[in-house]
Amino acid sequence: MSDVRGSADYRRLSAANLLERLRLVVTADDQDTTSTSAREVMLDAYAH
Amino acid sequence: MIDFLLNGQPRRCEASPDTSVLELLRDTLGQTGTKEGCASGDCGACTVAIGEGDAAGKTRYHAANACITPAHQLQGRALVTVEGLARGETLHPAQAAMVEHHGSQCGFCTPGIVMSLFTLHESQRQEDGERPAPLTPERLEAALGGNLCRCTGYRPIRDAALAMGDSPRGASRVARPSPDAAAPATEATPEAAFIQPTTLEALIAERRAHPEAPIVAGGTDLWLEVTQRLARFPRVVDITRVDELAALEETTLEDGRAGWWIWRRGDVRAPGAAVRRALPGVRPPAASSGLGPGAQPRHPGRQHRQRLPHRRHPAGAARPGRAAMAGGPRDGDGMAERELPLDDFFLDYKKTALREGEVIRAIFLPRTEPERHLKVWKLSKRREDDISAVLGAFAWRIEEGVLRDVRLAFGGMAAIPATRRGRRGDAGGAVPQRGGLCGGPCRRWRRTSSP
Repeated sequence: MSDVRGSADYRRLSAANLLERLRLVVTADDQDTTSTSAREVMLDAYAH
Repeated sequence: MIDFLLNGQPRRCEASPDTSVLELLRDTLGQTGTKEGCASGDCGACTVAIGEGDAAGKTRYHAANACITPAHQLQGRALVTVEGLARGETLHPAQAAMVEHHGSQCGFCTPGIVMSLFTLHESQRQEDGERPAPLTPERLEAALGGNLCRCTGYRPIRDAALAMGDSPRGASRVARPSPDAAAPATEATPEAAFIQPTTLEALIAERRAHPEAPIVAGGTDLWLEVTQRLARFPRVVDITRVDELAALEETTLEDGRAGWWIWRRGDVRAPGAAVRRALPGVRPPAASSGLGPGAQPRHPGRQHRQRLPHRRHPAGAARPGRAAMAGGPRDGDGMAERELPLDDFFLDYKKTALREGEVIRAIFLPRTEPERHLKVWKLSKRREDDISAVLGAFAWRIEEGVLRDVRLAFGGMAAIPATRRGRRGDAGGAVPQRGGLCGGPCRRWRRTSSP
């Protein structure tokens, strides 16, 4: 499913990195859902 | 036959159902100021402004990518191109500012950028009388995010946009007709037709009679078949004028979940407002353009939500709760309706559970419970790209230090958006530590995913 948006390897690596980011967030001490960081919509744009 | 206003002048044109606005302008009308760049709605070189009358009788313009906008959607509307801005030797403020600030080098992207600036100037003026409101950096970025320039550089263009705001009179130089949006073109022939039903009943009747005809709203996906694969569509059904699909309803489902049924449109901004209410506290990205694309494809996406499930690309955003369908291949005048969890709606690449003759009637967007955590992360070549390379959406809650109700979803990692409902059982109950959430479940996911 490699296409202009990125190769399959790139996307698999990106997804793995997102899961790692998720792990860091989940294991962080601050799990207060009332804080503004509890819900987040972010976009990262990278040339590849 | 399409009746519309081109730069203030009435025009009547014949065009096949799969003709784009760009083809109509350049090939039929000889208006070559509008350029073809990527032919896929990404670069903005073909940007034009399309005006519609609002409830107050005012003409409101939005920027559109002419390359992927069906020409027949111009019916009863006002089209403004770069040829229509200047009055004799007097340039429109968008043009004058670009000249003054050296905003054009090779010039290929310039008509599209000027039209985006024109639309921005118009919207500023409409919200604050004749004098444009101060232009914020976020608004400027959102307006120009769908335009690429590869030689001038963006700073002179940005300077031009900021200077343009000093001119109060520019927009009034454009003729202000009152387009009649209530005049759909339905002159069908046995061979070809661009059908624009205005009622759900008429839409379903059309779907039952011609299930092979593709549905179009924004055209940001379907029209790529035309421009990239040279597909031909002798019959197209446009759902943008179906009144019953124009609503936003706050409700509670039988299972107790509160949320919103989002129909096609009501207030143009209503779906966005619903999202903000459904996800209280969501922190927007640094720039206000959000997760979405640039202004040109964002407008039809915002107005015509129905395009999303009908032709769902696997790299799209995470799925909300439920889909309601109406129609189906049955005899008589009845209108069968059914609902599905969106998890069951997507079957394979661009294949959904829609039955022959059915249409999406609404999408249910559930309210996020206040105790849940939610992260939505999207990776894209550029921020305003309408399709991401990878999108991850993760939700969970912590109950006395233990993970509960974990839901993981990815776009761009399989033929359809990939969710792990089963991971509730795997991850729920785990203490949030290394080897918990991202141990076994994530390793299994890495093994099984095939982007």
